[in-house]
Amino acid sequence: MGVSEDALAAAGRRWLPAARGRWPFSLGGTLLFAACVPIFLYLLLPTLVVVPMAFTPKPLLEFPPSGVSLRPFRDLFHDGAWISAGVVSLKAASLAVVIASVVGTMAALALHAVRFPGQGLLQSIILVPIVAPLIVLALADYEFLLKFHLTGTWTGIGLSHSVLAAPYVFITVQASLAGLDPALVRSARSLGAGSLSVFRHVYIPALRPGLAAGALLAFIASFDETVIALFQQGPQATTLPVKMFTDIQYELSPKIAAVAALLVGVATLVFLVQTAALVGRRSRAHGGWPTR
Amino acid sequence: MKRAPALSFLPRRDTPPLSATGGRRDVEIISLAKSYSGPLVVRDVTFTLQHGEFLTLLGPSGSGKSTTLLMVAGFERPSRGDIRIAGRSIVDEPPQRRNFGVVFQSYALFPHMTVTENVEFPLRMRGVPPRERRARAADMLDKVGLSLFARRKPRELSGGQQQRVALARALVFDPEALLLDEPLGALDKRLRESMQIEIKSIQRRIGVSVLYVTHDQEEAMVMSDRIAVMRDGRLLQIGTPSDLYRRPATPFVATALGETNLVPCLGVEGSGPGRRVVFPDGSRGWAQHVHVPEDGAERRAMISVRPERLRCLGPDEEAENAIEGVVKDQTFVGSYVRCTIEVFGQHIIMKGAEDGLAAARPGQRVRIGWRTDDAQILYEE
Repeated sequence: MGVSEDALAAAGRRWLPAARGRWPFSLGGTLLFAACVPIFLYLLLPTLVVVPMAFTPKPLLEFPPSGVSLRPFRDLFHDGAWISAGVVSLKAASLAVVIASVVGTMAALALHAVRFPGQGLLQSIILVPIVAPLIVLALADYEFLLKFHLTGTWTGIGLSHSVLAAPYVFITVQASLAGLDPALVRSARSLGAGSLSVFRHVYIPALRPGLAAGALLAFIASFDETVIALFQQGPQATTLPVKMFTDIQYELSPKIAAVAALLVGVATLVFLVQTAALVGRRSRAHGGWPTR
Repeated sequence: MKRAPALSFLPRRDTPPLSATGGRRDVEIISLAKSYSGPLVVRDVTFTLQHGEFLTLLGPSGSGKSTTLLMVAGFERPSRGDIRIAGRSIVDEPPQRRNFGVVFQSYALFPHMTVTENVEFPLRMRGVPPRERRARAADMLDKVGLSLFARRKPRELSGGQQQRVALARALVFDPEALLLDEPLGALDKRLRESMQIEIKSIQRRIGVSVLYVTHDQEEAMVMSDRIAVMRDGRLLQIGTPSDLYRRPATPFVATALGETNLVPCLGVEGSGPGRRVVFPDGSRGWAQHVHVPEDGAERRAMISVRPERLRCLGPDEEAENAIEGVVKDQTFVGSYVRCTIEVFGQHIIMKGAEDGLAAARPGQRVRIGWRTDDAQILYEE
């Protein structure tokens, strides 16, 4: 779809009133902008500083880089240990996402539209993994999984992470269901829908956006998690963050910066896709005349 | 009608009945009562929704009208009483097996389905094959005038259009009756008035019985064949709009439908339908005595006369009944003139054509009269 120059010009006129000259903002707006810049830098710089480090031509980490090269990335993708760490992370995160999604959704559904004494307490218990000290959880998980010989496996890490991730799904699905019109359930029933049909045609569509957001958060919670993964690491179960942590103690390889840069890139991409989807949905919702 | 083959390993689908007699049977509501672990919110409500009729439950919020509708629909379980269709009790049936088309104020359309899919939904739940349900949905959308919008999503429609989709969806499966719970409450006044006429004409064309809940007296008057006035969980009176307007049973009913003057009486004399009343100044008049309270308790009596039934009398003019008062105010409203007259220390409203009220200038002493047939003796509740 092409945007005509006229439309652009019209948009420009709206934002840049001719009487004000070229600078569209008032004095207050300018000051606010100036005040915000250092805050944005403060928030973003520590993350972004790693990106140029990933393009160094030297075999050691350095800042600022003395040149530009893709060598750290080439080395990274030829290193079997890093690849398998990535695979372990993905496997553990996938398991965590599946379990957290099922558990979190069921909990949110069960607590939806009912009131009973002790409900607040129950909700707090469900949210405990978010606020509990991670180190305590890591220790408990380790002790527990040891009995089942699951330490040192990606399954064990995935199981532990699912506990951490389930509250995120619970919260987002619960938020989705809060917006559900109770009349919708009644309507469906009066139109002939039994419990299964109500679940399929009313609840599932309503909780879908919450589940998507929750699953994404759950994935990030697991993929990013280091403490539990460190406790349970083994030769066959070293996740990406754990490998980064252990490697940096022995060698200052730019491969670590390359991994970090990749993670930043992927996170940015996911964020942009999600924002685009959200904006798209909004404009469709308010767009008036739809195209078929 | 063919049904989809049953899969024995799945939980049995609760397929609702395909009624062939939808809208042609009476729905009886018998001594219905409801309490939520406390006082009764519906007390001993009895009426029959006759087939093909438009019956409105009218009352203020908290009168139990919505609760009554929810019990008929099956969303609330009655504490006592029975609901019967053609003599068969349905109180133990879940909503999905009752075959009522229910429409709520919030439209409650499925947001992820198109208009057509929404209307097809009840047929899909009944196992109607796709070809037939598409045809029936198209036919019903045509009846509500939304054929051009069949592929839209609900959010792309206006409030009035969404409500018509909800109507089509509630009608497409030939329900026993249509249950409408304040369906026009979310619309603005102008749209509400045009939807009233539209719903009424759709109902006439299809011939379905309608149980309608509203707190808007004008809406009830415009649409209903019969109105049941409710208050504090009780059904006070049921009848045609003109019945209720002309012969209200209680002061509440008299004021719930249109404007009225309630003049206190010191006593009621005589027996039979026409009785003598004594006004506070000792003068007497005649009024109709139709609704006698069942219990013999002493209650304060009053008469109710509609403002447009009062006349301003000439100096020597005879009338069946007359009282004197002082004109306080006169307002020109356009098609009529509205006078406020002080009688027995209270204000009485009189409405009429401009020339008939020429004598009723503010400050003047006037005689106002009415026909015995237009005055009702009522007792305080």
